Amino acid sequence: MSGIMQWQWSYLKVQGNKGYNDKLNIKNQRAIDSRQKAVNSEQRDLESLLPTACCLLFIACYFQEVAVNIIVCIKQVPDTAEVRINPETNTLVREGVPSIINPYDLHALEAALQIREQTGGKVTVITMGPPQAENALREAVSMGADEVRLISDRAFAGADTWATSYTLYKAIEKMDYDIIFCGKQAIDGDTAQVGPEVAEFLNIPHIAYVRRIDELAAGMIRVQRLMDDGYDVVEASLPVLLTVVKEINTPRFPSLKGKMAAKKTVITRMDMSAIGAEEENVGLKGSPTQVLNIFAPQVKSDRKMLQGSTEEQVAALIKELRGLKCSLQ
Amino acid sequence: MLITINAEKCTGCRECIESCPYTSIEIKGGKAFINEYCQFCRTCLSVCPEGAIVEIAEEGDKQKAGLSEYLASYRGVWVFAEQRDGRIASVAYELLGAGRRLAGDLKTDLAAVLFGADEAAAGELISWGADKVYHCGDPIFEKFNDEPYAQMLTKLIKDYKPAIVLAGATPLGRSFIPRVAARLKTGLTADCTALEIDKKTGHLLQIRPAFGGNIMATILCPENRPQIATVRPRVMKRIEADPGRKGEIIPVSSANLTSRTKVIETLKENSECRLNLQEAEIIVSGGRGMSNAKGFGMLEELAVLLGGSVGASRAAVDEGWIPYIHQVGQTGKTVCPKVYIACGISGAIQHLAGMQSSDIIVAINKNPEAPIFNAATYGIVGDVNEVIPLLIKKLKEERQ
Repeated sequence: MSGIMQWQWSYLKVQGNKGYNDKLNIKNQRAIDSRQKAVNSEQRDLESLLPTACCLLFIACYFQEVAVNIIVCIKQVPDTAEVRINPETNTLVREGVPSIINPYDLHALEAALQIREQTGGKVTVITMGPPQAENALREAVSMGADEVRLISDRAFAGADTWATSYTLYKAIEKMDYDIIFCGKQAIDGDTAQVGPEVAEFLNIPHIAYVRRIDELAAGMIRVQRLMDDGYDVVEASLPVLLTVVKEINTPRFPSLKGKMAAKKTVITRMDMSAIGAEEENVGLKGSPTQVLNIFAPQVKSDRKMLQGSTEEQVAALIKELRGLKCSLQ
Repeated sequence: MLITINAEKCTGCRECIESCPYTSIEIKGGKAFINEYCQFCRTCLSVCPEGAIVEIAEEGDKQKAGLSEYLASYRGVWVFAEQRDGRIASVAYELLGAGRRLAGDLKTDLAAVLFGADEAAAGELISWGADKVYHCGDPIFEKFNDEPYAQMLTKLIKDYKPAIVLAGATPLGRSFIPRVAARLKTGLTADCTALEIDKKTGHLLQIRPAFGGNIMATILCPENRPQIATVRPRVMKRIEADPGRKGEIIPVSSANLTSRTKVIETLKENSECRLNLQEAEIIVSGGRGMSNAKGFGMLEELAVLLGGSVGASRAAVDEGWIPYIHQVGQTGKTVCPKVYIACGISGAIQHLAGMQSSDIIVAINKNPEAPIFNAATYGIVGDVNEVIPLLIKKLKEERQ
């Protein structure tokens, strides 16, 4: 039985995701035919193969059901490692800071691609951002995304997490999906709020901080999520939104073929009217929160390098720590 | 609102270009021009030496009719008190400390909201500062599932209309509170490290780090209520517990709570010391300089001696010396202990982002040029394989 499973599995892989739902039955029949011929040559009774054939068809149907459509939400962010603030003017210094795909979102995309490789289906990557966010989408194609959409409109600018989530919800609402993947948070805003908010707008469940996918079956998924002091094993019905931590996988590098595809990809751009969003709910106007000001974090100035031999330094450290009111046992 | 350039005043000096975090300013025909990258962050306004960048209010920005009545209909400060296995998380007590101060400034009551746990736990919250506790003991809250938590808190907020709601910026709070904010169409500010009341307007000033801790931002939610914030654990100060404090426990009944997720089991990592880094007073953390997994055995011994937890840099986790749950930094946990001991950690900006708000930072590194020393309160230049065993030995000697 396990041999059949493997065979069926690789068969689905070869099928890829291009309309295999239609072709499945015909091809499956052909596959069964050829297998039967092979067995015939072994002089075995054809009738005894009937259960096997039925079994194969059953498995094919099973996996056909499991084939999932996945949406991955990504964000183009400045590489925050390079962002600094000028303490004199209280302004950001961002000269020459490159834009990258938010690192967590690469893990989200990788998780989606891995599922597609096992079950078939389609991976669609969407991003809300200025026209230049197109670059992030091309990178997603080079990693293997099937389709990409740029949600972009002048009216979206200045959106906080509420308005961003509303906009993504309007864009996703009419799409066909079983799973939505998001990174745990974006490294510029560090809020971790957009994923769960999108799920609420779509009226679907979500699981945040997912570190492993244990099982995906028809209509349900079982995952492990990271909590304060351990992990929860959680099941959810599909469709579901998952936000992932970096522990879940190692994102692949773009393939050469992917890079070629990325160059040729036509990026679908959707504006406010295309997604059917209401103006009072998007961008700055739709944002309940405002940034009042920004300033540089306080720099601690009480630095003290300990001196002397290693032994003396260690003794000095223990003395310093004892002087504090912390609970050194 | 719109940010534009007054072309008559603009000299094309390019000062504003560098200041823009979204690269939204370019030079066109010798004058600055703001393109569609603009996020209205207002950073450029103060930079222009000519005052040529101006903020223009649009028609719709005028005060909405009835706004002040709407705002006034929301009163009181709420703290969402998180529990795991019936035990109240320590961040809840910190939030009560912060909430007490805010409620004092606003001259209103402080209420706690508790889902799950028992009445004794609700009573605890009163002794730690709450005037009222809204308690829902429905067994559905025993395990954490986002939907029933969000449904119940949304319902309570609609019924009682608090002006401010605070929750811990823990995996639980940061997961379900966004659903509440989405449903209520109100502002939510993540992972705040300071909270103040604006004396003039009574709005909550929510201060939080962004861009990996490289900048701080003050966030306002001026026209929507409640103002909701998640607050970083260990940042706010508790008040003294007073078992004699009087307060009221208000039992609330749940209705129509549904969940499409189900917690099957809870797994704990095997570790001698506490795993919840966000609650730890002392963290002993290791990086690439620890050389191998054995090095982390040494750190664990030290952590147990000090009653602390073990943390790690990304490099050490990537090497497989310690599980990801211990990782501190931008792609791991953000921690704020009293003492953070960084062993063999060079101090990349991504790591600093996760621990620089610690009260005391001790750096042990053999490279005197390592950037960790710039963030450190106390620095020891030396080999971790010599320093840490010595530290362990001395601490053990003192105990005897």
